[in-house]
Amino acid sequence: MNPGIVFARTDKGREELASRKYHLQGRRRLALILVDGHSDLSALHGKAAGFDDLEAVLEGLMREGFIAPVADGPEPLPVGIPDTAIAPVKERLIAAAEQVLGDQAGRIVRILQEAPDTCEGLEQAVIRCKKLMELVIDEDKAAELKRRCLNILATL
Amino acid sequence: MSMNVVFAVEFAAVLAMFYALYMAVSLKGEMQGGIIGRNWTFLVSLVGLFAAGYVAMPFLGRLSSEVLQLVVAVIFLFGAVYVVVTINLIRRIIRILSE
Repeated sequence: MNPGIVFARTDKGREELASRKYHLQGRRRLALILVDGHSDLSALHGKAAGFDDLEAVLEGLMREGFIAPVADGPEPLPVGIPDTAIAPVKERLIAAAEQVLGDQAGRIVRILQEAPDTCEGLEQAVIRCKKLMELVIDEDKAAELKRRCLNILATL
Repeated sequence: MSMNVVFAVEFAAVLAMFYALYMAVSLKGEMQGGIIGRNWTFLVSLVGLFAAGYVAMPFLGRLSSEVLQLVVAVIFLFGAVYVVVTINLIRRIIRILSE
């Protein structure tokens, strides 16, 4: 697959995220969450470290009509639709950060608290937290928190 | 050259280096670890060493020429190490931010 390819969610993909109508689970749902209409395939690999079969999962999602390649380049950054189901997920992310970081969690918790209440907003906040932690807190804890957060986001 | 000019330049250098040391130590509290935190401790140590060297500058003239050459060479070495560590740190920060 071309590493520069950009995928966007189709109406079906957005419907699945909002209502779970098609019952996507685990890694397939996580891959759908990661697709944002402006990150290319190599950027998606960066966001999903350890997601070895990402391309295969994306191809499956494309075949089933949840995502489609963006023909005319990346879409503008998504505004996202606030989702009331997001709030408890955000609380779980914050709890995970507090568990992993203990009394070092302050800045990370603040980033998560201030994240927009959308799938994309939380995903971006998690990535930002991971980068900040790698730089100024602890690389191992950054990887651990990212793993936990992606598992939590996969339950959306 | 007038000794007053030399003294003024040395004094300015010492002030600037102590300001750098103050900033470096202040920022340390923001970094408990990670890539920057680990390197920062080393960089602060080097800044401290340079600050001490700058303060000792007026007394270096009392050393023999061999010792003085050695001191200058050591300062050059640590200066080069400082630059290498800083550039490497910037490279790693760019890599992480580009992921």
